[in-house]
Amino acid sequence: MQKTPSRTSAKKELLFAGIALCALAGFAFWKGDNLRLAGQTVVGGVGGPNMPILGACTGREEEDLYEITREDLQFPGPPDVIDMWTERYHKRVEQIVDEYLANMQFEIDCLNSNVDQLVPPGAQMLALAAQLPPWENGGGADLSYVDTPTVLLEFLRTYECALTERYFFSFGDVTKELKEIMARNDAELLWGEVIEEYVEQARKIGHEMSIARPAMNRVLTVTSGRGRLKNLDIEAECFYRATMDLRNAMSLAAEASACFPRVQDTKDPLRDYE
Amino acid sequence: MRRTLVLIGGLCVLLPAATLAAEEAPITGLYPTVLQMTRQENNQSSAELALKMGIPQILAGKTAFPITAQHVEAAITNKFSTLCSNGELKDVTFTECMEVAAQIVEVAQRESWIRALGRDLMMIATSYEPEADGHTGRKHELSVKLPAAMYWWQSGSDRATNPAMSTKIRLMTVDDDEFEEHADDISGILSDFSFDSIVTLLQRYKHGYAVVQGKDNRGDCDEDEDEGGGGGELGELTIRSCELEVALHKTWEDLPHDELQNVQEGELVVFPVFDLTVPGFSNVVLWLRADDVGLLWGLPVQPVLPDITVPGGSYIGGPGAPGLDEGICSHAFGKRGYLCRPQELEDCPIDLEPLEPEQGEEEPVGGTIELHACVPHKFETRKIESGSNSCQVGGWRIPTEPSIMLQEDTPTKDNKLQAELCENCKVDLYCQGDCDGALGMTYNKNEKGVIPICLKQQQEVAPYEYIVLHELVHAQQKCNLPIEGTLDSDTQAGCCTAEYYPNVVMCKAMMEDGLVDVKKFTLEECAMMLSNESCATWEYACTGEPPDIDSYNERKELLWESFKPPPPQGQECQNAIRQMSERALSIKESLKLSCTPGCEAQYENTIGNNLCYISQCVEESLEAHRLIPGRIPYVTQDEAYPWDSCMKDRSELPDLVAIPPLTRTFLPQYRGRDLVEQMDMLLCQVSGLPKLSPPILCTFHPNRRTNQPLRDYADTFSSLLSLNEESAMRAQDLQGSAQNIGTRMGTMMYQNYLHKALREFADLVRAANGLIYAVGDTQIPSVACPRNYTGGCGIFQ
Repeated sequence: MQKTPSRTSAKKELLFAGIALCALAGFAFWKGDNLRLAGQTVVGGVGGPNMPILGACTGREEEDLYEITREDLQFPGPPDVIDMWTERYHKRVEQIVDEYLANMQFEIDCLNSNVDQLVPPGAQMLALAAQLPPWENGGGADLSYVDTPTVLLEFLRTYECALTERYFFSFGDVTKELKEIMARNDAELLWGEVIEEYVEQARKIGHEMSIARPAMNRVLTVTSGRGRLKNLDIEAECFYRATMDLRNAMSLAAEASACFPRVQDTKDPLRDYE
Repeated sequence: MRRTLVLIGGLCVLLPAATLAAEEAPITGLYPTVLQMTRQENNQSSAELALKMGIPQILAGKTAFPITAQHVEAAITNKFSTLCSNGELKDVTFTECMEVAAQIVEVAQRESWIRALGRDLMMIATSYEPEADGHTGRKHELSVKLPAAMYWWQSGSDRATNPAMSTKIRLMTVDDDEFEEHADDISGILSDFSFDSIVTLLQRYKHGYAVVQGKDNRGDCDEDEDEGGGGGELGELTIRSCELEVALHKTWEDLPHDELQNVQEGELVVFPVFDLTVPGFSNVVLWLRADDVGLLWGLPVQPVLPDITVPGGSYIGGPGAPGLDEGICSHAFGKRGYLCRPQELEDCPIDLEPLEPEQGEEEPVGGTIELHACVPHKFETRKIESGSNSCQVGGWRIPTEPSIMLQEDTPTKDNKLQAELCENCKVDLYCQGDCDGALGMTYNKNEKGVIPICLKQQQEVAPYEYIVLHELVHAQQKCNLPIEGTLDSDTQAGCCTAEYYPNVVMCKAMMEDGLVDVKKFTLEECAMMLSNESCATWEYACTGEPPDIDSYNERKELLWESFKPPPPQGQECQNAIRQMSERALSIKESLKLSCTPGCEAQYENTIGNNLCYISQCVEESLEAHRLIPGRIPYVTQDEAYPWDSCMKDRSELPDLVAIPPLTRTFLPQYRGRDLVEQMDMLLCQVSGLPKLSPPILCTFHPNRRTNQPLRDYADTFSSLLSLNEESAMRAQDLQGSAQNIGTRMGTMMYQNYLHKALREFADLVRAANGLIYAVGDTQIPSVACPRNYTGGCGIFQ
């Protein structure tokens, strides 16, 4: 006898599938951190390693380097976000490079046994480091002058990361920003403006991505050479100072040694007998 | 109406302001300059000026239509519609136009790549050179501090015998206002040129304007050569600007040349530098020197790029290597660098001129390796006598005020001279027609303690000043000998021992005064050749027979020629005695005793001089004074006095302080080819292949995939196709690391070089520190030698 599939069987199958799905969801909820949306975690799960959370490059917190404030979104818009970021980034790098080169002239503490502390770290460099992920939670206390290129490279990384992120989500971001400007000013959003702005921002991002790293590599090539020989300069200066101190000590020893014959020519006791 | 007027007035105010605001401020600072340069290389909105002007010449006659700078701009910036819809091109099809655009873009990409590479290489050089090139106008931290430290370590005896030549440098000031005006004029002239032209001019005049004009043509500038190059790909290197040269010449003329008359031979004068304000450039200075004036770009980030219109590789003459006094070797500190002088190799004098091929042999092709024999000292003897042995060469003391009793030494024999209170001997220099066949002769000390020194009247071998120095060092050697004591110069070894240091002092003095060219002869070679002559009784007494006698004789003649004095006028010998040089007076003063009570000693306060004094005091104390009453200190005998056994043990510290040897530094070997071969090997390793020759074979080797096919034929085929791309990515990674690797290799070489030298000095400083502390820790008892005391050692605590 041929058996035909019944409606009841199909319903049961669906029920079982639903229960399985709920169980999975419940399991996921119970595991919590280890199973999140893509972009934040890779496979976690029981017994697996905890992978680092790769956060977004921009908008992570207030007053980050790439924050777009309400004041930036001005009518008639569109906001020059890429130009803003570009100007801020290059200005900041210029200030830190100038500070790095200027710090070459400093007072050397020859008695300091820690070479890294011989040159004071720049205030601007420390201020920037405090806004970068590796050092934002007080980790910048150990930074020294020699870490300036490291901080700059990290700054470059966040800059490229911000630009890349902006590139991938540009259409949505541009639409949202223009909508907000138009809404606040009772103006109509035209899609032609959105497309034009999107294309323009994509072009600017491409240009910045092609020059930011080469420019940074070049400037670090030049500055690193000057810094490379700085420690030798410091050694030479301290050696010179030690030489002068030793000279003074030797001259005192020479003064004392002039008394050698006088001291040694003590009266022969045999002569005391009269 | 009123409102309209206000509006128009407002616009009239705002428009100029807007225009002014739109003018960009000139770029200064390192990062903005580099950024601007990088932007222009990648700029899709405008092309580089050199490309716009050069590409039409490169492609002349090779395109469907003659191209102009505007066509180049349009092609590079992808504005094809602008390029191809030009009304002038109505006979040209769109396809032809696109082909021309492709040709332009291909050339532009090639030339841009070369120009970017040139800038990258320049920046790498800039990262290294400024700290180490010794160019006038820079702050020379290392170049100044280390020699300054060396100066304070040396004694006068060291300076008289040290083979390292110290350059005397004098600092002079100028009228700041006057030279600021010159700097402003030069800034103004430079500002009228384009960026690339300014780069060229800064390079051209970086070693001075007189070098460009020629020493005999100072102040002349050929108008025909103004702003023209010498042609060829590197023609830009020969560009000139007469306006700039005139301004530099005027600056040089305003230097205080009258004060420069007092500058000694070989002494370099350094003036302050003045900043120039040139738009788009930072760290540009005007430097001044007694013989020249020039410009310096402190951190150059762009080289003089080749002319793109000239086909690659066609050099007209080429820049050539600079001579030993040219280019970087013309600067005060730069000429002390190892590229600008031969190394002071004590035992291995090396010919700077290549050896001639022997008869029958072919002339060697350039780049040959020549082997030179190293001839060590031939003498091993040393004579120690009583009296001061340390700093025996002399020259460490400064003459004190002569006593009233002192009889002055005259150029004739002074029979009334005799040794005085603070002297073991006295010298009597005199001129005579014959000195037993020698140019100068130092006789044995006579019964009055006088050492007669005869100088031959009328000779043309060497200036008298140096013969006096030679003989005074002999006097030092004989001063502490007994009456009629000799130096054992009748044996070969004794003769060489006796003659070596006098000849070293003589040669060093001649080199310092510029008579002997330090670039051609080392101190050791000069001293050994003169010693051979002094001990001529034996052939090649002090060096041994040289491997190439003809070459030796040639060089000897050259040396003799270099210090040959002008023909004698009459009183040279007498003047050398009456007006003795400072050096000779210093050696003569060093004949005196140092530590005899009542005697004055005066010397420059350096570590070496202090040590000379201390060691001579110790020696004189040990030899001439009673350290312990009634006893000779270095003889073992029974306890003579009750307090002998109360003597404290000698401090261990002086025994344990080993003075580290100061060995000669070395230049670490730079094997550039080895490094490149290692990189090539890395390229093969990164591709998973053994080293292949040539290494380019490692970039694409189909066996990598055919020997290890993937599971699927389609995947294998696809992987084969992408092998090239994979290899290119790996090569790119390696290329990116190459700079880091090269940087580390260079830094390691520099560290190896300086680590040795500085470590030895650090050890020396540590040892000296230990000794000083030991002296300071010495406890001196309040009671020295109590009479009639038998109470034990407590009284000495």
